[in-house]
Amino acid sequence: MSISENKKNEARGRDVWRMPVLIYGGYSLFLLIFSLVYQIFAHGVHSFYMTWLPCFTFIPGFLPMLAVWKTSLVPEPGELSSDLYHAGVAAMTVSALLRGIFEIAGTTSVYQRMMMQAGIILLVAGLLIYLFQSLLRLFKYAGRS
Amino acid sequence: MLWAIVFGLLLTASAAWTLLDTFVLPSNIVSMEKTEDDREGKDSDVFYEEPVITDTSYHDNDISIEISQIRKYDTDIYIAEVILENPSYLKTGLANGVFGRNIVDTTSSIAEENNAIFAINGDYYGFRTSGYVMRRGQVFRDSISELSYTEDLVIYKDGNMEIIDEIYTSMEELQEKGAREVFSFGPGLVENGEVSVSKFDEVDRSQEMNPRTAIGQAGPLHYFLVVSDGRTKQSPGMSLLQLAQVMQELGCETAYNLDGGGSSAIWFNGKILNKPTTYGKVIEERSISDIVYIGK
Repeated sequence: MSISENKKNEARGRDVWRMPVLIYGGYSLFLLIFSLVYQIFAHGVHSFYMTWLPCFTFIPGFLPMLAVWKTSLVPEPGELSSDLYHAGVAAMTVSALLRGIFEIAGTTSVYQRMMMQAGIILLVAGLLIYLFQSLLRLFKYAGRS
Repeated sequence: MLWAIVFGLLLTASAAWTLLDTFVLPSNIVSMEKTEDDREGKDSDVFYEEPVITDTSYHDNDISIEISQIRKYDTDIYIAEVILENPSYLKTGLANGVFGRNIVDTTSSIAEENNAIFAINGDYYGFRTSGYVMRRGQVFRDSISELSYTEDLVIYKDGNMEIIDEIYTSMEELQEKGAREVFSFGPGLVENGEVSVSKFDEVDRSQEMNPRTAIGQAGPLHYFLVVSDGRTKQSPGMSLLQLAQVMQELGCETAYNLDGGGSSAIWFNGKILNKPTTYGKVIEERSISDIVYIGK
């Protein structure tokens, strides 16, 4: 198999990452619209979390998925790390949405903070497993050659 | 895929629970005890003359209330000047007579339950989970506020008011000094006769004109309780600085901002005098946790 065919196959394999890119892109757009509309009815009360809500899916979701899909520089994540990472992003986004609502209303919730902490733990766990798996793959590859 | 479905359901359930816990489900319920303060000024041997009540005033042996409505900053402002013979006539009431999160009722209902002569909304302590709360000498909460303002209004047993900062003053110190009521909303508007807010001070992240409620002291047992309309075409509302200036012009040495927005309500003679704007611009009384009232 030639190098160019290898590259084509790899690119086809990476196409499975198109769907997460579209999903995260869609969510980011939805959250942008939601945040803008919510703040119109907030009587001039602003919340950092509501203002920057779309970033919670755009930065840790859309951008890394786009990088995995479109570049061969970023190693593909495994199922476990991917599941944990997506769960972390989801929990952090929902927590940020709730915090935005609560800040505009003028209240707080211990459960919202717990959700954010759980999200961060899941996201970091996903990242660590991803790094570990990538390094393991690299060592295996280096050992073979 | 199964993981995504299970986690999605778990996350949705957690979010729903968090919203219900914050906005709907009553919790941390504590009953209000009868205190010595409740009985002060109720000596059965004292002769009370029949009160003289008009649409805008109340006068008897011990209590004088004069209510006026002015227009300032394009907004309707309701001012009650209160002079008392006994500090125990300045009272606070809780919705359903108990402390707790999401225990709410309208200002008028709480006022009627407490046989109030006159009432305004309080600090709506039940909408938050932190910040000092003392009512009638009973401590209900002594955690420092997580929100941006940590200034509280203290009303002592002698009827005098003081603005303190939760960071520098413990609830124990306030109890030792004879505090009877502690409100946690803020900020303080006037201290020692000087305006203590700037145009950049707003409640948390609010930067617009809003309905407001404030309470202030001009002298011994001499108070001003002020409510402004807002969020309507007729009355956009006031900034905190404007509210502070109104309180200072009235002669207040100490003045404090209570919960505003849709909570702002002033009640007298069985009716609400202002135009409370619950749910945006609908003119309707909002259910809140507590009131400040004048009564015997």
